[in-house]
Amino acid sequence: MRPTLDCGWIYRGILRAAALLLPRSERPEWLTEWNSELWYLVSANCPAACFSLKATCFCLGSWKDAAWLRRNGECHMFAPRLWLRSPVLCVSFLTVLAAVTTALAFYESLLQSPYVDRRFALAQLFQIAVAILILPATTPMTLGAGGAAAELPSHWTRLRWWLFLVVKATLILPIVFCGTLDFGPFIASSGLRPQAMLIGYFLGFRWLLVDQRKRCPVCLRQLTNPIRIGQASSTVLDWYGTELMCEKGHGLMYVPGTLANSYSTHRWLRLDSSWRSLFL
Amino acid sequence: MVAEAKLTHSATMILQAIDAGNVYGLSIMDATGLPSGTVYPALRRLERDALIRSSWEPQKIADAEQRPARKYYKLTRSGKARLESAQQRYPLLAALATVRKGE
Repeated sequence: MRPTLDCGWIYRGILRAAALLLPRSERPEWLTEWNSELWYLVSANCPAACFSLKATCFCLGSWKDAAWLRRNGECHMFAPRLWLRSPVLCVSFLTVLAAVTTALAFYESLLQSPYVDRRFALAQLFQIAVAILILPATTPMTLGAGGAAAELPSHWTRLRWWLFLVVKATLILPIVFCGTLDFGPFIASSGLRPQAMLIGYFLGFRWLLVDQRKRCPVCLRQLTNPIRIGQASSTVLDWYGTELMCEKGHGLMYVPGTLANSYSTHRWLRLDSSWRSLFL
Repeated sequence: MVAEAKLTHSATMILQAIDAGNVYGLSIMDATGLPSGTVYPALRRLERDALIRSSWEPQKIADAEQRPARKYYKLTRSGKARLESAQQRYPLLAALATVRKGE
């Protein structure tokens, strides 16, 4: 017989909220396991006085579990997004987003005075500078294999790498600027709009770096097929991290799992044309 | 030769609990006294390292007893070998598991 649970919705709510940390594909099985265990906890008939504390502690543990899976679920961390996979798709997606947000801002007459004037433009430059200053506190400022000149085969490849980065950065600026003007009233009062813009610039630049690091330095496509190598507890002399592959067969990228690793930077292993037959 | 990664004390206790017959999350928590926030991530890690494997109970059995199906954990061969070497490192581990079971 199914046991009754007075505040069951609270516990199920905690579990469902924790499940949001997981990739969508893993949520159903994860929730089934936790809900099943909660059912058995309820049916254990422990005294009512201690039950709510026990059940709450049990359900709060699900956050730690979900966070662990999110951190270590490599498929989620490195899963390529279809609309960002190739450089053309990525630039097209950002261009469409920039065009839509800018058109909306024009339509709402938000890009004219009194909303936008010279002081406002200076404030934007200041916010961009602050966002760039905050960036190193949250993510390494390296650009992965492509940032190292020695890893790239030719000047043209190097130029394309930097050009792609500049184009993405240029498109992010109008997306954040116009996007915050368009949707600002929905997310914050007018007094908080500058802070929303600062957060927007910060998140945009952070994504820019993270996305650039996950790309093949030769063809600029997102790297795929993540494989975990080593163990987190063996980081001093062994290597612990994730190996990613360019689906066009240009090479393999080694991403360190922790900075305490003996190899603490991204490494790119270039594959010559003899390997090409193994790839599509 | 590739060195084996050291098992933490919690992970060893969980392996010991599974070996003693506590094959699902809640019973492992009871046997080890560890909170859910420690046990479940440790189970994921042990499964990723191929020291344990999990399987869902057949739905038919659970339906017949009008309860939800459970996810069971079982030691793999390498998990058993690692537990044996860990028991030499933590000699009181087996005794602790027996005491907790008897409580």
